[in-house]
Amino acid sequence: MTSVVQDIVNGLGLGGTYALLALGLALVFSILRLINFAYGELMTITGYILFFALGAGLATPLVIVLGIVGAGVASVAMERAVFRPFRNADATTLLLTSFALSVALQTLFQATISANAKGVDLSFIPGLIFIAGVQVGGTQLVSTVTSLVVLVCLGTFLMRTTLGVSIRATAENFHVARLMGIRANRVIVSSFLVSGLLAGVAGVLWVIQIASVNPLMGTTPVLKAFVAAIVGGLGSLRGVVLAGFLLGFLETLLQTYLPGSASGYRDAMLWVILIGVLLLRPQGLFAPAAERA
Amino acid sequence: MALLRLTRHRRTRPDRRGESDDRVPASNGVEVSQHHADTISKEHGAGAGAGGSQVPFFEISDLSVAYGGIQALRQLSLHVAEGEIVALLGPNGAGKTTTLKAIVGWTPANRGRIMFEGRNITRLKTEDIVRLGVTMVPQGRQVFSRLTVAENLMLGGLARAGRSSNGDMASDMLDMFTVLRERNRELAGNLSGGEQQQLVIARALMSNPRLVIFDEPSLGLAPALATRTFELVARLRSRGLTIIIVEQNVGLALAISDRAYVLAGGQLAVSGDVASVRKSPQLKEIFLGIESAAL
Repeated sequence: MTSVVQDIVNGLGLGGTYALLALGLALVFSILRLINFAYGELMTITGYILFFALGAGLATPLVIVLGIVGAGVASVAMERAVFRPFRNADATTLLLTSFALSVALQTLFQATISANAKGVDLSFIPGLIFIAGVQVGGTQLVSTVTSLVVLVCLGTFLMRTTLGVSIRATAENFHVARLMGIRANRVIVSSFLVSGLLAGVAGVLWVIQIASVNPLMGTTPVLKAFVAAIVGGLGSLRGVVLAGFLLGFLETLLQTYLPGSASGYRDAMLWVILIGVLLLRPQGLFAPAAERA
Repeated sequence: MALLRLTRHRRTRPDRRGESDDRVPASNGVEVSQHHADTISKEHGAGAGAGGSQVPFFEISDLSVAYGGIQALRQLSLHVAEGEIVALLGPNGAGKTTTLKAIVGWTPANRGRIMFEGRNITRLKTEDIVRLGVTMVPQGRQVFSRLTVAENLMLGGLARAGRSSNGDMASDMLDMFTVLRERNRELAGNLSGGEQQQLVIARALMSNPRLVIFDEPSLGLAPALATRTFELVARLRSRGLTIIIVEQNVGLALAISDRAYVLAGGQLAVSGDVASVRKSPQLKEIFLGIESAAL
C-alpha cells in the first residue's frame, strides 16, 4: 500500500514538472510555431538565481519568488532581443535561432559562473511526510501539489480571462485574432512570460530535488518535456499536460520496477515506448488528427 | 497612448514616398485638427475630384503590392462613399484578396496609400485599423473553432473598447442571429457552415465597425445560404454600414452593390456603377464567359 502511494506521488511529482515544462513549450509554439530550444536555460537561470540569492543571505520564500520571476523576465527578454527580429522568419530559422541561443547561454554560464555544479540548499522540506499513516517523499509531494495548483491557475487564466481567451484565439488563428483588435505583441509577450514563469516553477522544483545547479541543468528535463509535448500533440494544451504526467509515471515505474542490472536502460526504454507511441499516433496521443500543427 | 503608438510607428517606418504624414492621432472617429483637415482636403481636392473640400470616406490611391518578387497588385485606385456597397470582382489571382489583405494590414503595401475617414491607415497594424472602425469578414468562415460562440463574440467586441459602446452589442447580435443565442455556450467548431457564417458576421459587427469588408462570403455555401448571406449584407447597409464585397459570384454581388471595380491580372480593368459594369464588354471577356449566364 505504502509503496503504491509513494509511486503515485513520485510519478505525479516528476510528471507535474514535465507537464509544466511541456505546457510552457507548447504555449509559445501554439502562438509562434517556435520550438524554444533555449527553454531549458530558463530553468538553469532560475537555478543560478536561487544559488546567488541564497548566497546573499536572502530569505528562502523571497529567493524562490526571485527565481520564478527571474525566469519569466528572462523569457520575455529572449523574445524581445532574439526572437522578435526573426518574427517573420520560417520555422527552420526560428529553430536554429533558439538552438544557438541555448548553446550561447550554456557557454556563458560555463565561462562566467562555473562548468561545475554549485550546491543549492533548499532543504526546508522534510524528507518524508506522513499522510494518514502513509509515508511519501516530501519533495515529491511538494512538486505534485505545486504543479497541480499552477496548472489549475493557468487553466483558469486561459479559460476565464480576456487575455487568456485572446491567447487561445491567437493560437488558433493569428491573423484573424488581430482582426479582433487583439494586440499580437501583447499576446506574444504574455505567452513568453507565462512560459518563463512555468520554467521558473519547474526550475525551483528541480533544484529542490537535485540540490545543485550546473550550466546544463535544464537540458534533460526540457528534452523530456519536449517529447511529452510532441506525444501530447503540440496543438492541444490539455494533451501536453496529460503526456507530461504520463511520462513522469512511466519513468517512475521503470525506475522502481526495473531490476537493478537493467536500470541503466531506463531512459532507453522510455524512448522506445515513446517512439512506439509516435509510430501509432504521429499526431500525438491527445490531439485530433485535424488539429495537427 | 494612440499618439505614442503612431509616433513610434512613424519613426520606425518613415514614409518612403515623402508625402506629408496625415495619420491623425485623434482619440475617436472623425476629429481632425484644422491643420490636418486642410492638408487632407487639399491633397484630395486634386485626387478625388468631385467632392473638392469633402474628406472621402474610404480611398485607395496608387496601391501596389508584391510578394516575393511577384507583383500581385499594380497601382490600384478606388474609393468608397459612406453608405455604399461596392463590389470588388475578378477571376482567381486578379488581386482581390491581396487588396483586402493590404487594407486590413495583413500584407504591407509597396506603394500607394489607403485612407479611411481622412486618416492614412496604410502602415498601421491590423489591430489599430480595426479599432478605427474597419473590419473584415475573412474568407472561409474562420471562426475560432475551439472557442465557444460566446467567446468568439466577446473577442469581436474587443476592438470596440475606446470607441462608442452604447447598447449591449452582444445581445443585439444574439437577437439578430437567434441561432447563436441557442448555441451560445457551444464550441464554434461544432456549428454548421451556415451557422458559422452567421457567427463570423456577428463577430465582425461586435466591433461596431463603419466599414465592413466581406471576402468571398458565398464561398462553400449552398446556393440558398449564399443568397441569404447576401440579403443579410444588403440589410447591414440599412443599419448605416459601408460595405466592400469581394466575390466570385458576380451575379450575386452585383445584385446588391451600387458600384463595382473589376480587377484582372493585378490591375483595375473596369469600374463604374453596376449598370455600366454589367454592360461592359470587357467584363465578359475577363470572366471568359463563365459568368455571363449569371449576368
